[in-house]
Amino acid sequence: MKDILKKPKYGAADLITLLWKASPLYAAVANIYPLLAALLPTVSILAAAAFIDAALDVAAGTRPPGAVAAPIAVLLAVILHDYSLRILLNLVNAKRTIFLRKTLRPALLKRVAELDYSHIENQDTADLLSRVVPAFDTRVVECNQSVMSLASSAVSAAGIIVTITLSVWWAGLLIVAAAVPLMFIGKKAGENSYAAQRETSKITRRAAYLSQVITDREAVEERTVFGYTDALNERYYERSHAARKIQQRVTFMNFIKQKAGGVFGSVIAVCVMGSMLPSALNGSLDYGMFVALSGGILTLVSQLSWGINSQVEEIAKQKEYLNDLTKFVGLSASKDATALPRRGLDFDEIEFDNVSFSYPGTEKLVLDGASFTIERGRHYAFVGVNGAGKTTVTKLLTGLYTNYTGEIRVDGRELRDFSQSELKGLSACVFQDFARIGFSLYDNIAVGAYDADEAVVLAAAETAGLGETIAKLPGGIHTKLLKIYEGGADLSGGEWQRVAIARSLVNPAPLRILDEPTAALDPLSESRVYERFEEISKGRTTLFISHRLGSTKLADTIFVLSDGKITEQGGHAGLMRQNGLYAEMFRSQAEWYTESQIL
Amino acid sequence: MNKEGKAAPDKTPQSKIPFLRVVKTGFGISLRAVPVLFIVIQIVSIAHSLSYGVSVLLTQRFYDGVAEAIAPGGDIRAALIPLALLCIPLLGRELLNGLHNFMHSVVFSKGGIEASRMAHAKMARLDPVVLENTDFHDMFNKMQEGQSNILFLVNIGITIFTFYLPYVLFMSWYLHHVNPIFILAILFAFIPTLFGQLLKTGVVVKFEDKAAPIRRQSALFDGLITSREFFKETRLLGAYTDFIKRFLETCRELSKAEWAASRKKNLIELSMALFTALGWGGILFLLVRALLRGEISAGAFAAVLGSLRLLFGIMQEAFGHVGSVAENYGKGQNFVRFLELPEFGGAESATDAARGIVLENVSFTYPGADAPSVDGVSLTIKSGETIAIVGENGAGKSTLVRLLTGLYRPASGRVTVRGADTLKTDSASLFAGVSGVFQKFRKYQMTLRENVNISEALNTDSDIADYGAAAAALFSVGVDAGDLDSFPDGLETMLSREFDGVDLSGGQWQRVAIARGLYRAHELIVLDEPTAAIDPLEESRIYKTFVDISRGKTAIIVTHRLGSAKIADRVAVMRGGKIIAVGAHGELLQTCDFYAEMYKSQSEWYDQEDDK
Repeated sequence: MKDILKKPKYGAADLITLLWKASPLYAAVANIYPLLAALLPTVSILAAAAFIDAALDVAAGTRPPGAVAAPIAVLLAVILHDYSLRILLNLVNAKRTIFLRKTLRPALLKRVAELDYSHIENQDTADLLSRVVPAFDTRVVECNQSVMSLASSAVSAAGIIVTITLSVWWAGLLIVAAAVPLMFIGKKAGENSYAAQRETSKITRRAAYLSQVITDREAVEERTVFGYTDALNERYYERSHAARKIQQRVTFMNFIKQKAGGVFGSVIAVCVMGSMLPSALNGSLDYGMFVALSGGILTLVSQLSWGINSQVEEIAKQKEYLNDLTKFVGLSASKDATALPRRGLDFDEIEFDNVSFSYPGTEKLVLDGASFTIERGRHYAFVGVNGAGKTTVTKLLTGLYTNYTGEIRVDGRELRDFSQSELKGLSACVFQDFARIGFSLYDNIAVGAYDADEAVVLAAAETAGLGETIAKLPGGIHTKLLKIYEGGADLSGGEWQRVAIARSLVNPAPLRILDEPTAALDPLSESRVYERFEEISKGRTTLFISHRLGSTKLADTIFVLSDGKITEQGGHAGLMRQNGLYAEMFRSQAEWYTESQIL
Repeated sequence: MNKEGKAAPDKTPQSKIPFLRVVKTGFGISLRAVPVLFIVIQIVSIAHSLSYGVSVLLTQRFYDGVAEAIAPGGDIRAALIPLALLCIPLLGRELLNGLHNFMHSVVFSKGGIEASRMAHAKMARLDPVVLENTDFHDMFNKMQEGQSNILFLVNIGITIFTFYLPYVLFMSWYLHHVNPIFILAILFAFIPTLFGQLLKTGVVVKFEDKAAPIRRQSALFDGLITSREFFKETRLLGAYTDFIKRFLETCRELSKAEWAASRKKNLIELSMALFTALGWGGILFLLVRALLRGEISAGAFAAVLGSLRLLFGIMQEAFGHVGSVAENYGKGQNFVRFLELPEFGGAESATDAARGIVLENVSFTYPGADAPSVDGVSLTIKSGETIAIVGENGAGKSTLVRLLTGLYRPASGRVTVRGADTLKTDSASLFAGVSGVFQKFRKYQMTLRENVNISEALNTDSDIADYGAAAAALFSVGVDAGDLDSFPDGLETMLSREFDGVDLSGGQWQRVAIARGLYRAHELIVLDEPTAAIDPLEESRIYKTFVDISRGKTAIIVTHRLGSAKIADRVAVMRGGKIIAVGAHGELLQTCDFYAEMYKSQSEWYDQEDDK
């Protein structure tokens, strides 16, 4: 079970084997039983033949009435099976869904959690994940089913064909000869419609995007003021119809081919029935058998011309999924990424030594020979224009990316040599896009703090300034947040910021990072956040990023990032005297606050 | 601004929409999307249905013919002629079946597009304030789901009458014709399925209600581990262990609920299956009895026997559909309900920019909120004036701006924009000549040019002039569309990774949004804090550009940064939904303590003498 995600490559055979690895028991039920059941149509033809013959004999008085009992019993047994075992199978399937959710799903979640962070930010791999991850446990079943439904059709067809062949051998051959082109048409049709779906998926996605713009709640201002809905709706209409037309053309062509096949099949069926007549007349074929076979042939022909195409289409889709799965298991990951943070770490000095970095798949050097040193117990600020690489520094420092050149040393030890557990224990980070989770307020603060006791959490909430909020909430600190719960409360942007701050306070890591979580705050609240943060971080090492340069004065050292390098560093006063980029940026903001008129 | 007051949801009990109104809407969509086909498909459906009946009839003739031919002195022609006749319904059945299915797929895909188009158009006509309902999101999702339900309701509903009913009627006639007592066969097939269906629906609905919140929770934990939104923090906090534990806990709960429902549902089905099998037994008994009594021919016996499976199958399918009518009606109501939401409305009205904007004692409360967000505000903005609105988070700035432009309408008081009362004017008149750069500006996954000219509804009048205008608007905010490094296809560069284009940084997106606002012809422009993600150098530059461009035009700027409010002719200070002071920056420093305090708290960061 565990090694279901360990193959380097997933191919056609895995359509079947994935489910076997996930659960041999359920796979056995899913694969053996349908093949046996596929023989029942043949059984029911034989029983019907016997029943008709017996009934006729009884009516003619050549056999006692009891002769119908046995064929009726078989017939009823088949019918009873059809209705009831199908249902029992549903129950087994329900159990299977439950079983896979609790075994397969966690295995997948672990694997995702171990992925290198770069895959999460990279658009292509993120798309891959969105295709692979959500449907994984159902896909494992569907893959197996796609093959099984084709296989049981084949078995059921074979059963009927063998029966016919045993009665009138050349009629069987005739059917087989007719079935081959039918199956071929069905397969082709299935492939065509799958190809059409792929071809139109791009157009459909664009149409879906337009629909999203037109209906997005957040877009209401632009949509209403700019009045573009009609224009976009027209475009949506055109694109949707363009996609529909392509698909419809294929559907129509398939319909023509399939029905041509169906008509051909029906003609063959009638011919076979006609040519069996002489055998019926000369008595070598019983009346009952003739009638039952006639029914069987008609069913078989329609099954061959209808069923196969959707089955083939389904298999093509599932194989595509396995290709994605192959790519997914090939993504780099680190085993200990799910480890708990190590506590009690500390450092004296972190040194960036000539660090260069570009995001995987891009060429632009976001950091280009950046060197600086962070010392224990001091406060640092990073400033720079948009895209200068400030946030990137935090991503390297927290170990999210390791593909940099140069060295990052913590007390002389290269950061890449740190275990995940140590990395996590090293820093507590408040990101720009910190998580707002549908937990209680308490759990939102204590998230990840596996070893924090209640007093610590409550104190952090208090220190972060959440006291008033807690008093207001109906269930206090244990009120559930967000609307996913009935009666879940929502917090304002500012309150959420404090939650994020409190979260970092609970974290005992020696380095605290604050990556501009204040963009949505008004200036008063913002200053409070920064002041408070510095105040409660006295004696700790802190590092923060802010666009509003006034707040950088709180830092002992300011690093100015420009073109991927540290171009200036020092205290506020010193940097102002240097009259470089920092001074320019500071003045451009400060001039709004000087009394001289700027315009 | 705590919204916990909204925790007790403002859900008004949903009114039931009458069945006929839902059906009528569904018909409307279908007739608009496929006017001719919709009629044709019904004819095909009836013919398709009858082809099944006729095949049974002719099969019996064939079997009778075979029996006749086998009988001593029989002639093979007695069998061959019916066999040739049988070809007709067999081939017809094949063709009609394909045609029917194909037509259905056309009806559904065209109908689906039409329904979406209707919903889109409705979205544009909605009163924007409706979107602020806390349950709007939910309502919207249900509407989308209901879209296919309403199509199903109409199309499958009709099929019951044009396909299943003719078939059952034909079979009833046929069975009755063969032997009156065989009419019981219909009942045997009918009754168990009907009851099973009724019982099942109740269980499924009840389970869904119970499982939905657990399922949401389980999806939450799943998302905390796998989604991009949470990934970074889950990793760095080391929270995986905790999340997976909780995930497994909810799994257990969900499994329990699911298993209970599944067991119940399937047990009902199982007992119904036993009844169905009993029905089969009854029919077989009747068949044998009739044959023994010489009431029916051998051919009739074989033909009826051969047709029973299809009869039971079709009956079950039909009842599945009847059962789904109730469900589709239930969910289809959501679509109609959406179409009936209050619209913006209003009449066309001439506007006169010279008359500025006048607010008289205006109040506004969000749906479901206890306290007004804007409370008794009066303000006059002269034509050509630049006014800044400042205040803390949640003071009501953005709401006020929405009232000032007419996007929202006051609950009490009056807003007159360029001479037009916003309560009585339609959106086309209100927003002609109005532009804006909004806090929640959009990043359209379209080309660079479309990202700009979307503010004039993707202006396509004259391409060449538009290229110039779009490029100029971009250039004025420092975006060079000719920079082939950033924009490989110039103005036609697709700004979306998903659609094989490029992505921009947050700051660049913001500039594009500003260019978009400037591109639109305007007499009045709103800037709702458009510079949050822009670095200080760029920010100053943009504000200055903005002042240049909006000279002579009415401009409203919402900002947190009081320094930038200085570029305005006047500043309105908001607090708790009220305007507590209006005046020039210098004046307010003297007269408004609150403003002075805010200004001081910001400016002291920049006080260069302060040497910390």
